[in-house]
Amino acid sequence: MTSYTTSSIQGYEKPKRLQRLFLELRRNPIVIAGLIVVLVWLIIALLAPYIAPFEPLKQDLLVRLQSPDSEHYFGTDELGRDIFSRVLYGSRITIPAAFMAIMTASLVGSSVGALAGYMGGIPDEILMRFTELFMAFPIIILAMAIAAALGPSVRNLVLTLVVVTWPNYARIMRGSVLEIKNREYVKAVRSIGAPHWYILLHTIIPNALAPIIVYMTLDIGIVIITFAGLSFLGLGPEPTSPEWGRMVSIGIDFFDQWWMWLFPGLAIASLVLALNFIGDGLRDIIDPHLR
Amino acid sequence: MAFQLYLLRRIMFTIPLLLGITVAAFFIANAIPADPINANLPQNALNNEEMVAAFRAKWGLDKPLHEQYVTYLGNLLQGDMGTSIKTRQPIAEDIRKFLPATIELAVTAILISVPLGIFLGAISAIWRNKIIDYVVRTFALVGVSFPVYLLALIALSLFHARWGLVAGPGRIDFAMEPPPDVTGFFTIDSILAGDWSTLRNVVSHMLLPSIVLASYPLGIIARVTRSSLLEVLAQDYMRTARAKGLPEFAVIFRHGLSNALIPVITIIGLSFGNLLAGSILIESIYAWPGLGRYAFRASTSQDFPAIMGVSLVIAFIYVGVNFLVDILYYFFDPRIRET
Repeated sequence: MTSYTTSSIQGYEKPKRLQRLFLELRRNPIVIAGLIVVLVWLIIALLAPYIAPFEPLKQDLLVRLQSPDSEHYFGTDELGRDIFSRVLYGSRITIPAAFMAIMTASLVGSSVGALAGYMGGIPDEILMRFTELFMAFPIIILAMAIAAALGPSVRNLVLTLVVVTWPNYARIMRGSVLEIKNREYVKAVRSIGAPHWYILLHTIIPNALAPIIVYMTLDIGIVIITFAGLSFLGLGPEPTSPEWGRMVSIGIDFFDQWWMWLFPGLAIASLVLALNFIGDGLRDIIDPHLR
Repeated sequence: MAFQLYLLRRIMFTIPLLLGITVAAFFIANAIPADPINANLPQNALNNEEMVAAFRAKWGLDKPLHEQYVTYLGNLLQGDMGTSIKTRQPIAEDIRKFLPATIELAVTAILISVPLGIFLGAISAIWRNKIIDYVVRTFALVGVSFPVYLLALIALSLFHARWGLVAGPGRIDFAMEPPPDVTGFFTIDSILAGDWSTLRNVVSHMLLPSIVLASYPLGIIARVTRSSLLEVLAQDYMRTARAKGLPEFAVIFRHGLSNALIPVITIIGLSFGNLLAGSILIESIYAWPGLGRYAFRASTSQDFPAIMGVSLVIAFIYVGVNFLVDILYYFFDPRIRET
């Protein structure tokens, strides 16, 4: 089988770049703080059944609407369910949903963007007009319409998030591919007779991934906020579900029982804030002209 | 480029976009739901064959999809967006009734967030990596990371319920008469009527929701101003300006900030969409009788035609605001005039 190894041609510098990235990250306390918080949430999501003191769905009307104490750390809700346990379990809905949405959206978006950028011409035109259309809507408004049309469920919410977020990835990837496809090293690979798919997959895309990854870290916060927002609007999982946005929205009717809305709300905020810390730090490192 | 030509170009660009939005909305409304009749009619009407037939005829549902779109567009141009399942009113009429309260809130939030955001972003860039920079950046990150409804609830419980500093939910106290309706904006109407005690009450009611709504654009604007100004400050012409012996104040404001504002203007237009979306999430909390509360109720009660109506109107406003922003560009960015 013919091999089109590129490393000798382009002076592949990826490992060194990664090493520098880790060095920079270590020097950035805010990024470290963000990483720790995210890690804690991941552990909570994995181990929720073992750490949660109560069943998240178990009702106990005798202890309804109790303020936080040593037994119910975050108090109880209108049906006597333990809010601390529900908040812990909530991470098992939000984190996988956001992860699924962002992975699918970036995969779909980058594939389409890479194809459009590489092919150019009419396919490129059609695609870019199409993505502009998606961007004409404020993201949560478009998401609200689609989620309402699909019907409320977590699966449909993930689908909705993919539909509203993929165009950004398409645009970013297209831009990178346009920039890279005429570089010397791509011409070199082409000149030794590599087929298009090989050039795209092995030469162009690996070199166009960095901006996509940075954007993903910045975007995942928006995805989580949007997910919780749609769920807050009643377009997500059923009302009994321990989903954070939904819990806040039910808590509005119990405004004086502040623990009902504050803790699930802070759960969203802590996760998104931590992710934004990481995304910001990463962008500062990779985008050197801002330093 | 002459202004007329530029304006014409922007209009030519905007019209297909507006049409595209109606196509998208039509597609979402008709192609995604398994059964548009089920999605658009209340339960009791579904059993009534006459009403189902009337609905079918009005939207041309038995015709092919492209003809359905033409019918849809025709109805839309006549201001007909269908009937809300929940309020049983024509959606266009509902929206007209609720829109002024939301616009008033959104405009106030923009008036708060733009000057403050630019100011904070600028001082953060000037004193880069000093304490003030870290404080501003942390606040900006909190502004974009906290769900707006959480901020709304925290602000309401502290500043109204606990400390009683401002009025609570609603646009005006129950005991008070709203000002005579001229513009639909309570602040302007009470000024027009020369009624200062009403104005004070109205402002007190508006303080919390508009500040909370401003938090997200404030964070975004501060961040963009900071990075844009940092980029400008590193340019050669800044060194030239300093070398000329200009005072530092003039260097930063005249040569720095005025050049750094172009990306900020873009972001202001884009944040307006966020504001309208944010109003959907917080108006219910503040019992604010606007489009956001209407959309929230529509959404929680699965009132599909109303959701589509609100989405369409917000997308249109969004495009309109960004059209205005493009026009502003012409005056802020001399490069456009010269090409």
